[in-house]
Amino acid sequence: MTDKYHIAKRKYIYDVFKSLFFSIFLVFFISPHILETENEEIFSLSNIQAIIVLLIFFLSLITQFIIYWMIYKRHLFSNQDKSFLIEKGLFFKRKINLPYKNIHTISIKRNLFDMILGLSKLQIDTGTTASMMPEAHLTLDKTYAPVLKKHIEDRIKLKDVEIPSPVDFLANEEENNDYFYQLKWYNLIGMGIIKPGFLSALGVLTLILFGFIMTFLGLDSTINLTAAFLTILLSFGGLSILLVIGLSLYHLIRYWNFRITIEDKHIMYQYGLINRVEFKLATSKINAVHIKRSILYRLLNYYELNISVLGIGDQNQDNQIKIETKAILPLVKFDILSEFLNHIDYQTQEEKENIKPKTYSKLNFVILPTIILLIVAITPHLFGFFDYSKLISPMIVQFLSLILIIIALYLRLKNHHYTISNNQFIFQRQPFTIKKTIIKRHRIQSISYKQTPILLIEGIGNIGIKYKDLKGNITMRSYPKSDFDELKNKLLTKD
Amino acid sequence: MKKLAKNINLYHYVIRTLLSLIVYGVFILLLLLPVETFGESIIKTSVLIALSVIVFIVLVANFILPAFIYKCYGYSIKEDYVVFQKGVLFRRKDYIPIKRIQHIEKMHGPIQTLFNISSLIIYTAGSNDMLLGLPIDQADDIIHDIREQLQLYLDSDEVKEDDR
Repeated sequence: MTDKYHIAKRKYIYDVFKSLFFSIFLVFFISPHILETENEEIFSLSNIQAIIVLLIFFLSLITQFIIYWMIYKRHLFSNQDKSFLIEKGLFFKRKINLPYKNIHTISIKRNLFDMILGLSKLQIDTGTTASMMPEAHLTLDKTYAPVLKKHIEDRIKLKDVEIPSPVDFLANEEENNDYFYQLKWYNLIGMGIIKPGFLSALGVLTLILFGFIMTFLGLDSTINLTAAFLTILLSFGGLSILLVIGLSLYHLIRYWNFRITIEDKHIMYQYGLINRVEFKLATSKINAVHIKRSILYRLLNYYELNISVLGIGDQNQDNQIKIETKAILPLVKFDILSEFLNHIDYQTQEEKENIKPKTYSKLNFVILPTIILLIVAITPHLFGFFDYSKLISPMIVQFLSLILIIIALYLRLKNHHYTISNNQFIFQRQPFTIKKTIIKRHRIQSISYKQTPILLIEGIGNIGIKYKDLKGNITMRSYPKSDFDELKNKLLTKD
Repeated sequence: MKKLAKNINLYHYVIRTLLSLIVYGVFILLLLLPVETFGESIIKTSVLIALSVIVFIVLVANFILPAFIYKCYGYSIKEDYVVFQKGVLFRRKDYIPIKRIQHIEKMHGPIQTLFNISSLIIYTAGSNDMLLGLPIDQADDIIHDIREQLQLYLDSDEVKEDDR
């Protein structure tokens, strides 16, 4: 029996985007006309109408997801005795049988979307004038398309060869690659969601839609607040989906085909779809490494590694700052991170003794900022001209934001510590996305001890460390002079 | 900790007064201008209040803080690093490892020359730190001392070890 193969699975991503755009189009352009409201303003929808709009969106989305998946599963190609067979169609099933001897031309085409997703379209034309379009086209993996093309050409030449499997072919391809690390398209799409930007943007969106906009709507007594809330909820859903698509596309385009090769004392890396970047750098030029872990990175056990290197992030001859990523490993598991760090001569073992701010730490990190925050938040309410019955949503948002900020302040204190081990200075900071900077002792350019009037009264200060990088400085807050002196002796004096 | 030039406080009184003249001038001009110029009297009052706060801060920075500069500022050169101590209200101590120094710059403008003082700027690959108010001849001695210590490091095998 002849083996049948599916078209490239990632074509389904293309279908997912189509479904999303169609559903959004359906909701925003068609639904209001179907509902035939007296006043067609979007905030004038009744509760039932708003729910119907929501239902239309999700039903349309889910239906399309299922249909496109079924279409994908039924799109097959195979090698027959003397012909090439393509089977497709869900409701209107088609079998296109193309005798090898009649095949006129075979071409491979790629549009922008194909390039982003790593796809190619193989078009087969029999030279008939009945149709302007090619008789068949298959969406395939970009590396497999030329292989299948060659196979069909061989069959036309009456060679008795078997059709190569796209799965085996791709597996072999991967084995042949000698990259230390590379990112697949699905990693890049995932990065759009798990990097810190997504949750932050979602937070800002919540604040704007449910905080500010609902406040303005609450001040207008003619607006039906329940309907407005449902409409804003719908907008929130739509914008969140657009955010996911936008961020995923951004990472897909920016880090497209991200590959790293390690050669003795050099690292070569390349990435990018529109602006392809290729760099070769000496490991000895690395001045600091930064390990970043967002909340979702930690949940999924991933790490991001950035590096500070002379020449990258520096200014060029025209005095313009080069916009160049320093994310050398944007999404890795610990074993790869550890291997890479060992290669560039940085240690990854857990620090034994973390030095945290002790004196007045809770006061400076949590209590004082909270008091300032509460004064700012409560002052407008003291004037008492708000009608709170109409501002339930903004009040909830404000309360939740306050709680979130207080949690962030507490986590900022919890994650704030440094240590020195094996000639390395390691400093960890930030509340949600934890950033750990490792600097070799001899890469430190200067250190300082700074005291504001409040810190002078408390008898503590902030420690500043400068290292080779554009804006390469870090500040460690609320440490006593004794800690600074110990640090200074370890970093600046001879062993 | 070694001290700066003895006339450093006077230098700061002069230079800060010169720089603050524009703020005082604007404030006096505003006081003298008739209320009608502003349309409503509330605008003049608001602007005056805001500017008064600024003028108060400038007055403190101009006439009170310089009195403590000689006492609070200083420097020292150790075996491994140079220390700059700066700030009256906001204090800081900068420690610059001698091994990391790329170059040192001495500069003095016309007013500094009148007071026979100069500024010393120490550049490393990732920072630059300035100390203003050293007597001109003393600055040359400091540069000489730092250069000698730096040369010892540059001639040693430690350089190769650090560059590896």
